[in-house]
Amino acid sequence: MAYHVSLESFEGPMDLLLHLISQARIEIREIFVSPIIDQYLDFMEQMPVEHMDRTSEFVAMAARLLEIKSRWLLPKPAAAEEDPDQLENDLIRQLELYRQYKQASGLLRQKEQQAALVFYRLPEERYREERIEPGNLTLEKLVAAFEKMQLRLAQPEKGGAQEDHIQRDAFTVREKVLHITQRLRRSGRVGFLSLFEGASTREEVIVTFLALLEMAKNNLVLVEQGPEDKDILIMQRKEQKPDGAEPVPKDRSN
Amino acid sequence: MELNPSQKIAAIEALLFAAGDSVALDDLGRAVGLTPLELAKTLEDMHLRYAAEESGLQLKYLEDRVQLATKGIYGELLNEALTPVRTRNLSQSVLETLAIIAYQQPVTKGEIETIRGVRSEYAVSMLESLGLICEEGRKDTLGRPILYGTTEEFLRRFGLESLQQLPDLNTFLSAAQEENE
Repeated sequence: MAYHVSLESFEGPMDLLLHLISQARIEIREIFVSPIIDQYLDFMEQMPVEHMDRTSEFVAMAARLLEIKSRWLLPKPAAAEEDPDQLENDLIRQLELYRQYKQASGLLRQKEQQAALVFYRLPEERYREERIEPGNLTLEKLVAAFEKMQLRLAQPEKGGAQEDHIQRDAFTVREKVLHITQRLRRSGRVGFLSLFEGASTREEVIVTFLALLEMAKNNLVLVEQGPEDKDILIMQRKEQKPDGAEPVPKDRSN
Repeated sequence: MELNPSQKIAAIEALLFAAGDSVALDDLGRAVGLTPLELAKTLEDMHLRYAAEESGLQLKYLEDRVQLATKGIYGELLNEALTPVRTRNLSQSVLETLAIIAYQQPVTKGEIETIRGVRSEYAVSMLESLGLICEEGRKDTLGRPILYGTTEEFLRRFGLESLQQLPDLNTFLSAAQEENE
């Protein structure tokens, strides 16, 4: 059978199926007892391969129809699914729903034409400008905030990484743990702040701090606050005895 | 200011004219000092008055908002006199997509595509750019897809007062069956 209509005139595979169904003057329900499936597949064979985009959906439907067809031809497996007509019913229901929406869209088109004769006024520009009120911000506060920001920007990171380069971490936690351990071995205890002296970048400060936390977590160091808000002290922790008892080094600084 | 009943009607008219856009019933009632029930009655009277009189205007309801509009019979004349910018008619596929959204909202693009059997990327973005649909949150499933619904502009463009005015989907089925007989 030669088809005079090309694929372009159909929205999609369901559109085509509905067209074939209405041409054959049958109910959607009767689709499987009719030659519709074969007609569809014939149609597919005549389709040009160029418009892969559009045709993929038609091909997907063809595959679906072929699956249904092949199930009829092959003997049913012993353990059949609950509903042997599942695939067929799904397709029928889908086609029926789609047809309802096609008709609904027809109604919308009618209503659109009627409503096109009704005009509305376009909304005015806002009557009142919506302004962002600064509130209680005074000029002085604004200047102060600006100056603070300037200072922050003016402090260059000494030897730090440039913004547009991603550099390998110059400092690792492992390195810093080693570093702290060495210092503790040398002097028994270390002041918290002194750990960060000479740190060239904020990155180094952070990594050092992380190293300290790691060591504290692993019970490698003891951290104590000196009297009267003096510096925090980091001390070596002796090997942990199984019962947890171990001499806690007393703080002897005055 | 204190308004007598007929002044309230006039005030509503003035408000609706000046607003241009639709006005919420709540705002309207509050502005002229009418309870929702009183406002409903007043608007109904205005609606009838515009319809009966030789007025070129009509009162349009849009869900819980109202707006002034011209009467359809003067549409042709207005078209010629004002040469408004005409938006192109919607294509079949876009209209189908819109119908699905109108009936199923809120609905995801995936759900639309399941019903249509084709990709609906183009139709959905076209409808969004025309202001006929909008995002209404996301579905709480894998991928959190966007949910779409129709807008007030949709009601205006298709002459609907509310979504309830869309005929039941099943009424279409019986019509189709009559075709085949």
